[in-house]
Amino acid sequence: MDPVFTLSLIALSVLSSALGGMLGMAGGIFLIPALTIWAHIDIHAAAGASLVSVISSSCGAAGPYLKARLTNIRLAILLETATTLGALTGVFLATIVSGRFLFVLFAGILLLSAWQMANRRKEVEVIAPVIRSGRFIHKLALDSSYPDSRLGVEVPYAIQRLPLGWSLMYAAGIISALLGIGSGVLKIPAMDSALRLPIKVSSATSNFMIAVTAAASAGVYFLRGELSIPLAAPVAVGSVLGSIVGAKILIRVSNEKIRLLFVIVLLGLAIQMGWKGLNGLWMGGA
Amino acid sequence: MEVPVPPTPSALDRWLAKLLQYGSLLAMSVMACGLGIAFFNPGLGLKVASAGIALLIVLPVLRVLSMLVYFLAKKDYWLGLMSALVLLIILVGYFLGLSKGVRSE
Repeated sequence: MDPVFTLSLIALSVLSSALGGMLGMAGGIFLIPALTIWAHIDIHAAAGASLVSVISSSCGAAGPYLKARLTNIRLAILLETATTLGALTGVFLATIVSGRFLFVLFAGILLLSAWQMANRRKEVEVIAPVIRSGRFIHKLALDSSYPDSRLGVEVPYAIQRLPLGWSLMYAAGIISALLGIGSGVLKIPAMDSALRLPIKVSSATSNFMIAVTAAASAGVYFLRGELSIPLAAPVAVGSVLGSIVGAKILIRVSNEKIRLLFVIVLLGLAIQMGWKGLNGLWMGGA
Repeated sequence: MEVPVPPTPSALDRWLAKLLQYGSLLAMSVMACGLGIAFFNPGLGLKVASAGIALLIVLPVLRVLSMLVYFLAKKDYWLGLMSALVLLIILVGYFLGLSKGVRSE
């Protein structure tokens, strides 16, 4: 372990994670571009290392959500059959897809993030009339309610379109294992739009599932000896420090100008990552 | 619309919160210690950091195991089945990873 390399990795991770935290986004979205573009680390190695910090941030955030009764753990374990299966698929795919493909895929995820940032989810909760869910959902008692602190009431919710949500979760698991991110960018549309979960419940439940999904793939990489410890440990430690810093200097992202700035940053990173992937192709892979 | 719900988090919620919070704190401390040791003794530091990472990876698996035990104890067999499935998928992956790792050596 080279001390200078270790310290620069910690610094890079603190910055990426703090930036992500300030925006209420997963740190991985900035960490992977930082590791690959600036530190010139192989994208497969960077993804594996990033998974370790994904587990740690998910576990760290789970406690408060659970205590506030925002996490639907019954729904979470059901959807985890999809995300873990997706994670194993991703681990298998990682052995056959090229680094270039991963750069292009990551660019796509960045574009999606930019789009979500531009059309931020509205924090307005309405007590919708509870629609009767399907028999399977009823049998498993997946419908629940949560205490809304702002409305001061218990808000019931029903789960819709489970097969669609399950399929999107499978895709999210694949992306997570391939790119080393929590892929909240895919989980959020799955939970908000397909399953029709209230925003607070979907954020908490998605966070809860991320650790198990990442542990499914990171465990395989670890056992295969493909997880670089000198890379993963500084990145994880730096990310935890960065998330603490990020939460302390939480920027009001409702500020339109700052949001626009970050949309531009995400687009810029998407172009850089996409270029890195496609550039190799034009050079004939030389 | 009134829904009968407990006003406080369930016993399972509270246990999982504790497990994940203290578990990740412990794993991260071990990892940070490993990095510190690595400045003086790289070999040992790497081993300690590696143990921290292994601990962190095992934590979510323990979480699924806790849910399996809880749901079975509550005779909630559907959810027990789901927990068992998730555990099975993870362990099959680890088993495949391990066998492949051994073969490549």
